[in-house]
Amino acid sequence: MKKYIAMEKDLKNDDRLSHRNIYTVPEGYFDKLEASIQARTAKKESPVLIFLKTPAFRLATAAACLVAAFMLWPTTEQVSAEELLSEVSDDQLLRYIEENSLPESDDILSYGDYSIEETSTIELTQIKDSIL
Amino acid sequence: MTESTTEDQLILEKIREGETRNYGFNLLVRQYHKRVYWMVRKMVIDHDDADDITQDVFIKIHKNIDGFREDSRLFTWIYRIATNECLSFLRSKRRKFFLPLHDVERELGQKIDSGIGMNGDEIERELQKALLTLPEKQRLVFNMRYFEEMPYEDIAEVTGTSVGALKASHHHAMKKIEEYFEKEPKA
Repeated sequence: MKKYIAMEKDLKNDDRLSHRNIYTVPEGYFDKLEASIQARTAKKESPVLIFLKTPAFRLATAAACLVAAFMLWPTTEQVSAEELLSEVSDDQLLRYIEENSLPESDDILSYGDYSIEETSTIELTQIKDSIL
Repeated sequence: MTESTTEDQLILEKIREGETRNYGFNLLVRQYHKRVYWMVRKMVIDHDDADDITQDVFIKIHKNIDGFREDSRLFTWIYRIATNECLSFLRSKRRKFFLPLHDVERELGQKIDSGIGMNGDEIERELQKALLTLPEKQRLVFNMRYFEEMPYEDIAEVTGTSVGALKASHHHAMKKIEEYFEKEPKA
């Protein structure tokens, strides 16, 4: 079996040991193999997933993220109502109340002299007169 | 194997296009499924095992193709995945049944003796049995060199070994096969 040593040098001339592939497959096997690989990979990747991988979609997503970040980014410091009021002095508050001539508490209480039934019958003019 | 570079480039372009991704992958399968199958079949001998492994190889390729950065050629990258799958299959087979290397060899040798799924003559089958006595990586290299006539440079790319180391390994493989036939002369 010295010829095995010579295999590397003179493979083509070796008429006993061919490079022939001795294994066989069932008829039509390779067509089935190709189809089953394609079926398995197609199942893994739906058309939606394919679309999600497209450069156009990725670019659009990145742009949308940028716009959203720009819109939601806080431009000024958020201050609560309590904090704002604490900065206003008592004098300023009293002046504001006076200037806006809110009704006196006696006026408000006088409306309470009417019962619910009477109130419903009060003419609009009477109300106007009492306020003025 | 460098002649397929243009075709590989076209396949990769189609896959990366997005809209033609499926079409590109189908081209890849069409281009390589037979070669991968035969490479796997020579390693695991059994048709059903080779069928399962080949499908798994392409599922892995499909899953990882976006990460392929063309540091190597597509063909060698595919072969590398296929060789890894073969070797891990044989390793797990040994672990699963607590079989030493010798018993895996015997099991595969029995499949060759059965003659099912093969049409070679006695000497050709005996060569296949002789190859089973080689360490798995050496057998892999022998198959790529002897049956597929791959250049050492390509095998080096697939196995991540230097050309010098491959030549030395192949020389040892030839010596072992010679010894096998001297011990058990068949022809």
